[in-house]
Amino acid sequence: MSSDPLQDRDEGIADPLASGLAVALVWLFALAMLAIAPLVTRPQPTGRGWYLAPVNWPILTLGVALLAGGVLLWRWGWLGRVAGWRAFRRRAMGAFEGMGATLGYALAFVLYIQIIAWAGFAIATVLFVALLFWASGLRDRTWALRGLGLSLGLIVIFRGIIDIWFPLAPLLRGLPDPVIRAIGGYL
Amino acid sequence: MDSLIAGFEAILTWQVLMALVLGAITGIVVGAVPGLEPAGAMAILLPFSLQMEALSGITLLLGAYGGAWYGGAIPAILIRVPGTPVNVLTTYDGHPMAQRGEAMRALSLAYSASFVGGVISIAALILLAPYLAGIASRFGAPEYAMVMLLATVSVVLAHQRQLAAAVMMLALGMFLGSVGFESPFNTQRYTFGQVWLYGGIPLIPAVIGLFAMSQAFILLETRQPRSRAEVDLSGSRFRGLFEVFRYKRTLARSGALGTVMGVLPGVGEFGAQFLSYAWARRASKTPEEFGKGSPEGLVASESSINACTSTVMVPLLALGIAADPLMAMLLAVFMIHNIIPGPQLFANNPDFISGLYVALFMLNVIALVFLLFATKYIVKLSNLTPRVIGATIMVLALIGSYTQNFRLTDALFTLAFAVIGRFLIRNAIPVFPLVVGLVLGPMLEMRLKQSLSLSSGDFTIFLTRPVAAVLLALSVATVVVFLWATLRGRTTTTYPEGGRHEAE
Repeated sequence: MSSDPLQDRDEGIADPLASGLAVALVWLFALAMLAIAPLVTRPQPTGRGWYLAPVNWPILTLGVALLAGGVLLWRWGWLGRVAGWRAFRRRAMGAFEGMGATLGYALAFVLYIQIIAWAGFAIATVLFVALLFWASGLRDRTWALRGLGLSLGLIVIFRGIIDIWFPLAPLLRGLPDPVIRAIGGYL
Repeated sequence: MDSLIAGFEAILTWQVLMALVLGAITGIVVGAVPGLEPAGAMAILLPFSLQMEALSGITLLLGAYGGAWYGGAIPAILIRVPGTPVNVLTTYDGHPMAQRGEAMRALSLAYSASFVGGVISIAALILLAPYLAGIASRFGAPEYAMVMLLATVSVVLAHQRQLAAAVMMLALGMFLGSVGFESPFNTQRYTFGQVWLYGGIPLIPAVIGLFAMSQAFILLETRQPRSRAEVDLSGSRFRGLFEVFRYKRTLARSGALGTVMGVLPGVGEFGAQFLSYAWARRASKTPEEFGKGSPEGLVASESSINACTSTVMVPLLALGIAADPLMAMLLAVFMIHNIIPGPQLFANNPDFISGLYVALFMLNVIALVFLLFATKYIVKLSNLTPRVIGATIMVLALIGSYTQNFRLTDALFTLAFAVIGRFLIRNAIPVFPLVVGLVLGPMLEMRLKQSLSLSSGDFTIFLTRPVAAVLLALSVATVVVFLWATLRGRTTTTYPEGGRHEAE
């Protein structure tokens, strides 16, 4: 084990060139928001103090964000010149490392929301947890059973005990009444 | 005495006690599992706390918040991985003690030091909050604006190594806070005609996304636990419990430092533990043992961390200012129950305030007793597969986002902030200032507008009112002292031995 306990927190340590690219994206967002400020805020009513104008606060905050970001970008450019263009480009793109998997999980989450609306919380949760386990590499039969156990545990806690309300899903409306009465509260 | 009895009466209901126990255990478990943070636990519990009665809801969140600092010591001592980021210094002395077969001693010493720190903090809260509230009752808009300015300065300066990034994210958060309807003209800003943006950026989905679901993404990609805990937990669990009082001076010093640092927004546990550890080493008769398993070092770091946990509530209770995301979540629970923090709270809700004090004390007792008897079982949680925790958090985040308004679309807000949070964390850009900006921005804008309306746009109103001027001077002085210390640090370098050498 390393002598520096902070080294274990790998998410807190990033390549400055990759961080710079992330800052650049935030900075561009702030710049775009500042540019459209007059279009998305109402003009100052006549006869009222200038300090009440709706556009003031966005201009002030975005201006500060751009200035602070500008300092970071200036340092980023300097680091880039030292590293050389090819290394700069390669290392800067490290900003997106791991984001593919993140977007994959995000897509799964969107599907989860859709399936809840269509098939109810219980079925959607079983499918979602199974998908997350599979996608994250927990793929054998033991993990499948553990995933099912986890899903059932969450369903019992949140639907059975805490009784969180979900609307009756379209898929479940066709079920016979006795089934709905027996397990509808969990679905 | 009467108010103390009223406080006990307020919390001696099964709902409050259950919330306290559940919150404390959740917090301890979250603290004991590396990779999970108290903010994430609070974010997930927040929607449930909103459904409860005021005191129950607040004790649930407080339990999670306070319990996490206790639990964070477990992996820090046993496997040298801080359970929460603020337990870094606990690893320095706690883990060497565990390595030489004194794990149980180190753990019980850490628990009792945390307990003493917590009790000192509660005493300070009881003394400070009403006093500050008394002063705050004379505050007007300019004073509140300057308090918030001081809070933002503190939050930024707490990110010592990422100052520019912290300023950028704080300002961006303040901008995002301006989306939606603005006052006094009730016009829309940055809503693009979208109805779902009229109410502004919702705080709770943002907090759940940034602090809970973004962590879930990281955990789902983590192959193995950070390190497996296979340590000898034999020995008396009570050994360190009373040993802590052998270090009375260290306890008093660290407790006092933690208490003071807790009041300063954004500085809290991090600043307190580093300062108190450095101070304890300097004052110790055996400074050479620090970092090699010194019980005194362990006491210094753990007591200072927990000494912040109650005084961080001073600005919230006395002034109604939530200066960090954790307090913002508590503020949300206050507001939903129509309890308005600030000077009037002490006059209008004395039973609630007394109940809160007693609940904080009970939290420390519950955490201490629970840990003394359940540590062996909690240790096993360090070995949980991170991907399983990640999958669980994803479902909890959905439930947390949904239950606020029973709208599944709120979960999409959470998801957007989670992806943004994951990207920012990956690139070491701080997310805390973003949420602080989201919370403080609208309040600061409103108070500035009110102040300038009072003076017809004359900025000298912040200099001519004595309290506002003092607060402004404090903000300026804080920045000046920080810059001076930074420049001084560039010309000299401190080495672990404590000597100061000229940098080459």
